[in-house]
Amino acid sequence: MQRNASRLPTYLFIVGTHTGLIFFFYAHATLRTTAYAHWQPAVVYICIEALCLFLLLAGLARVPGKDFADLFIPLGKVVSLLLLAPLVAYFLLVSLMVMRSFAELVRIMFVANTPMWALLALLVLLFMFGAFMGGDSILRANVVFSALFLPVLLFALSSCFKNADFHYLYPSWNSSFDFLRKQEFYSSMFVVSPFLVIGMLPPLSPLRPRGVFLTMLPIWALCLIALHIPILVFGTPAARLLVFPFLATMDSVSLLWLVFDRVTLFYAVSIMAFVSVHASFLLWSIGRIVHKRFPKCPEKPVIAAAAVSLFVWGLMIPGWDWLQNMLFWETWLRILAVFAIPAAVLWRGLILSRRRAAS
Amino acid sequence: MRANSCLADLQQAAASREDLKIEPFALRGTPVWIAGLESLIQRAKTRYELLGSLPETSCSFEELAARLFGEFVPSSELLGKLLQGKLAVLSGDGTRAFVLESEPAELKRAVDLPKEETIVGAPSAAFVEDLNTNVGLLRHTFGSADLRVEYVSRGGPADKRIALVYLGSEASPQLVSEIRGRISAPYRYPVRSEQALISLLTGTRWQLISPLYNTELPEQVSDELLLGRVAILMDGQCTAAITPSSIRNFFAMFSDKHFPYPLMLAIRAVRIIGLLVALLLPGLYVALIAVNPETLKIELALSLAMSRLNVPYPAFIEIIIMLFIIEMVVEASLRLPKSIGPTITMVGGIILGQAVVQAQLVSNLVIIVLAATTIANFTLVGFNNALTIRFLKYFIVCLSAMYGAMGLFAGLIGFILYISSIRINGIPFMRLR
Repeated sequence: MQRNASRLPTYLFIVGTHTGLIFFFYAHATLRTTAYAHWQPAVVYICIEALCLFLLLAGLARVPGKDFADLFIPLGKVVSLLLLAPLVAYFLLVSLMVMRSFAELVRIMFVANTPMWALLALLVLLFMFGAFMGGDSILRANVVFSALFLPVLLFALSSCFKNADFHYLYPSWNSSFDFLRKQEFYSSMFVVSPFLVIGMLPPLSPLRPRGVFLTMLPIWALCLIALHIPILVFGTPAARLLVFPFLATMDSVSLLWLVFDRVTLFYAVSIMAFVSVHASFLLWSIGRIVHKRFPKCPEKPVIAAAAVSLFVWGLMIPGWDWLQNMLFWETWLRILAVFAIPAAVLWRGLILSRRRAAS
Repeated sequence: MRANSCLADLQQAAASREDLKIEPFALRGTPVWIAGLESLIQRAKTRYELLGSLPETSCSFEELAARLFGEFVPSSELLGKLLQGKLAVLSGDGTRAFVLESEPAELKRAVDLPKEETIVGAPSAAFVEDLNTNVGLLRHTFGSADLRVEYVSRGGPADKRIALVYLGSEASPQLVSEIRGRISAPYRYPVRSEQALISLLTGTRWQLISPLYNTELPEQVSDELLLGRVAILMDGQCTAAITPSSIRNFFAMFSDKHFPYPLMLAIRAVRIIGLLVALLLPGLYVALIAVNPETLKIELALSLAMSRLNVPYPAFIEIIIMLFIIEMVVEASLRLPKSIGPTITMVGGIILGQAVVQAQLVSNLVIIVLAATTIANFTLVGFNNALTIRFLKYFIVCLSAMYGAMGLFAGLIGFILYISSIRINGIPFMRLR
């Protein structure tokens, strides 16, 4: 489609989709997996993501220009449905999680009196608008968001080190690896899932596996930093109690020379941009996959239907606790999406490339 | 064919066009009729020049046409040629006619300084209304054989003449042929304005951001042509419309390149900040005053609250009223005669700046916000672009009034998504080249 296009928008998009989750969920999700030495589950998450990403990229590299739908649809009606339906459901669930949690965060921070339906309506309209604009528009918009908001986010992030106490890093070794036995570890695994959107990128922009892995290096470093910031400020036991540990850490920073009372404002608006990119792209992907699988369903009505269902489900979720429960319930769907889909992509890639070589 | 059809047709046409003059004349002994629109040509001068360019000996009608570089035309096309400002010479019996260039009436102004885009330290010739002069200006500025000029004739009675100008080596043939195709396509109204061009190029009348970037500077056009774009010149317009436009046209001008590189970057950075200020500042005011005062430092929040102490209505109404007044001042000052303009601006300034605040109808801060917004708006390059931002800020003000800082940034995110989705002839608007 765009043979001479620069790969920068793609790499920035990968950074953007991860940023939305890292600074939003990562600390909370990882902190609840174990009592101390949190770098261990974080590193395991990174290894899992690296492995799954490797499988996905190895598959995609063998069949350039094809996305999930193009790879799975030729497998027949039943098999393609079995692979694509959980993926679509998972994309929808991640969008729901991101949207509902962000609405919760905004409500805590900015607009305590605004009813939830009004907040959700704004977010859903924004995501739907982005999805209507199309995948390549989201990629381009993300370049602008990165230029505007990444520096702001890094500023907010670095300001947190003002209150850091590095003694909180200890104890730094947990020989029991108890997190592996906890369900929280598996239910928090959605923090590694943003890499799945890479599977929808090839028709928009060419991918170079090495470039993608190089992009992931700073992201993984940011994961570790984002996890440790609340620990460094509050200490592990206190940080584990917080629902939005990152937000609380930001709130603790006071910069005298700043016009604003808290740096939280910068944090929230930057996160909002990247959350919008992520959720819009997921909605667009849902429209794309459904349209390719059922060509009679046009993309935009599918996106609109997905957005309306997000709004309705978002309203039905009563609060943060329920959101946590939802994470438990959909653990199996998540494990299927994170492991089975990349493996299936690799399998299809191998078969198709062999078939091409034979012919 | 009717006898003396050319003459009869012209006489019939002249009945309802009294500026069409047909008179008998003798060219070196050959009786002829000469016809022309006295509103477009200088008759006396043309007659004098006509005689001066012929030899003393008598010659036939065909010889006359050859010596005067005349072009024989059928009766049906004669009136059209006369409307283009040509002179017709008809044979004595009125059956045949040829047309030739005449001395035009002085309807065109000379190449002048730019009226809208004043620039520092750069060549300052600007386009005028005449298409040929404008094409000539471009040829003169560019001076390369690579500059291609195509005239698009749409054929409608009220359609204006359009020229496409591009560089053969830079513009992609696909782009040129697509633009040519779109501009020649049927349109339900006469193509006389830029709006018609926008509709033809995009297929919609509802796009907020124009696919055309207007400039009255030939130097700017030549820079854009080097980037592979196409300039559309329309007769009667003293700007060239460059397509496909890009976000770059909001903040970059060729004349910036007359400064050292770091200074050029600084100037462009000012314009980008201007764009953000013009778009966001009124919304930020509403968000911080009405919805999220707690995000400000307490000292600042208190001083802001003090400035609005006796203002009787919410921040949203306050800023909307003042924004409308500013819009009216800008609109009025565009149309005011030059002699009255400064007076009205001064009166407007005093009323807005002083009296309204003293009467405690709005706060001091609103005046500062408005001044900053209006000034920032005009840092943008291109009047069209400034207009787009002027318009879009109202959406952001409304969102800010509803959702505070979150609405403000949701508006910004929506705006960026919108401009990222625009494609002009298949080329994304959001690109830096």
